[in-house]
Amino acid sequence: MRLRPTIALGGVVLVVAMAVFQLKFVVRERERELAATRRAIQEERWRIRTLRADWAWLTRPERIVAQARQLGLEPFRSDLLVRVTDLPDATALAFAGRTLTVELDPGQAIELRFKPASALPTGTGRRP
Amino acid sequence: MSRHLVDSSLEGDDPALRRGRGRLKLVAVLFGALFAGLAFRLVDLTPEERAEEAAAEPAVVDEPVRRRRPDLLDRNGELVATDIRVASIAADPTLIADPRRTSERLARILPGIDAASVERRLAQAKAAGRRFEWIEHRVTPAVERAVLEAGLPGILLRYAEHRVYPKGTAAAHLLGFVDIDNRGLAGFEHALDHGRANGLRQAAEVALSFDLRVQEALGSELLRAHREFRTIGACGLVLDVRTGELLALVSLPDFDPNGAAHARPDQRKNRCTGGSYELGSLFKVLSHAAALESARVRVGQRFEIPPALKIGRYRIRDVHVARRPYSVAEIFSHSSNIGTVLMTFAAGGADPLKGMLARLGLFERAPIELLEVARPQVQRAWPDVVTATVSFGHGIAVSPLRFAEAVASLVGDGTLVRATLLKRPDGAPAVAGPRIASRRTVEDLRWMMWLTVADGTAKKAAVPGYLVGGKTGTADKAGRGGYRRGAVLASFVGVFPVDAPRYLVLAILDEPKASAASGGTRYGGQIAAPVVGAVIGRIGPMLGVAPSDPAVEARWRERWQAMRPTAEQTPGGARLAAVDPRR
Repeated sequence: MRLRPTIALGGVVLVVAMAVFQLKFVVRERERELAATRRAIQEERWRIRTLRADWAWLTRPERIVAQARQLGLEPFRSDLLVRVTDLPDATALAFAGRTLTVELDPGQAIELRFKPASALPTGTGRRP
Repeated sequence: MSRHLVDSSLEGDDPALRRGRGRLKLVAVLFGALFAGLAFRLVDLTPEERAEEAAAEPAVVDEPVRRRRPDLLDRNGELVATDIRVASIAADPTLIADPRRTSERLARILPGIDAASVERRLAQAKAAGRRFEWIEHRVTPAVERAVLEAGLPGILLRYAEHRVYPKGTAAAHLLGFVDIDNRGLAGFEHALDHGRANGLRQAAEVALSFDLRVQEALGSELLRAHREFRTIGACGLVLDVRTGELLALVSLPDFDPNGAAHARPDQRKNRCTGGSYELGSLFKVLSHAAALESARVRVGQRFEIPPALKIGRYRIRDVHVARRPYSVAEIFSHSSNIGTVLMTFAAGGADPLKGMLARLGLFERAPIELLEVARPQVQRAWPDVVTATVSFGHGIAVSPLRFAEAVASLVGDGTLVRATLLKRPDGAPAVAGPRIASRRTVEDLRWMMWLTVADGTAKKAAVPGYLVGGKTGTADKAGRGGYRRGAVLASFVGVFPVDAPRYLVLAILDEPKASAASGGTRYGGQIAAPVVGAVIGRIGPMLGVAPSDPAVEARWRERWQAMRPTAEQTPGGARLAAVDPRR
């Protein structure tokens, strides 16, 4: 029986065993964190659901209608709708949908949009 | 480690030393094995993570996600039904040292409970050794937090899923409600649990066809009429003529699905699908379509309208006696019962009418994703008198929804439309149903419906900006042993823009009482038509429907002028004038 390799092997086994043992504890710690995080996510999800329901409740039609009335709003009247071609200055609206890209600095650009409202003659808003 | 040590420290060849060395080796190996064994045993004994995790978490119950009901959304993604986790408060009385102090502190947090009675219950339960006692079910998140922060020993929080309908009464009949175990009992919720909504039970969310804004517009206008005319009930619906999507459905009186258990049966009843009604003159849309489709009758064809018509032992009368021959269009726009009967028989009697109704599916239940859908009530045999009464909407009872589908099929593009509660995916191709009516019949029907609003019984349904078409109905309600005097169903079915229909709006008011607003009458044109007009005026712009082209209206007016009877055009006029129309 050769003692030196045996003892060396035993040492290696011990070191590996200790490493595994250590690893197991680390993993266990991680798993605990994972479980806690999962639980927190679940909690958060429920909270989000509750908040969504709360928001839906606050934006329910009867409440919106009541608030709109307080703000002096009223239901849309179909006689306020006009066809584009019936507008006095309809051609001015030809650019309405288009955008114009303007380059500022190299790499930077903004989009300019034609605003149809400015082309409208004044006084086409609300009729008395 | 030891060999070098032994070799260097213990020199010599003494046999005793050699023996001693051998023993030392043995002991070293034995101890090594022992420690190794202990180490492995130690690893082996380390407890499993799962067990510890379970033990660390006694209070919060993680309900499996799959058991949840899907969230329900309206067509714009507004949340209309969802599950939330709600805390309930319970107690373990054996852990409560001072029931009085605990109940007093609880009463401060929970405004609804009585400290004295809670104290008594806790004390009794403690004496009896019971370890569980409910205190308050379903508390708000604010109360839940307050209880947690109070940290009262022996007070427990129990969590459960709870279905809520955040929009309250809006769309109550469409959504339905669930029981305490989250099982659907009515409406879409019920259908969802009974496989009517092809496998959507497992989905995370379901987008429904209705639009909360349209629902609100229809609901508030219908409610106004419901109150003004003191009706016993009302039904309103808005249908997308092209896709069959139900944009709104209102049944009055309604209820709050969050407290459905407290609702009366008449509140829970969905009058638009769950009831079948004799719809009266509304049915003339279908009988006119049948007559025109038979090709034996033309829109301009005139019929002399006698003051009364006798079929067998029945007499058929008109509300307004015609003083001149009516064209088919006028029979429609003035809603002449006698004219409709004459026209129906001129078109071939029972067969064309029956065939049209069968093709429209009026003898079957609507296959919508709801379970409370009434079966139509139809006579088995069709003698002449049944054909006559069915042509103006009596002797046959169908659900308003089924009728709306039929009208949508006829004025849309002439192919069958099936109502659905599920939102069609954006850009999904239109599903063309079987053809019901020719393009020509469709055009004629649209024009006659426009005429009814422009110059007929439904002038009150006119909406500035839109071409509206429709048909009024004032049906006598059947009671025990015949029709009841004074009980009517006032209704109007409207379509807009009628030159290229997008939406159908139906309003039915059950047993309205005459008021100043209806000019002292109970006609559909006075009671239901204004409701539909108001709804169209509100939802048209909302749904992005462009105003109608005035050129179309001009063309249609021309057509009417060309057909309109003048003295020269009615040779029979003079002869008829000599006859007393009231005879």
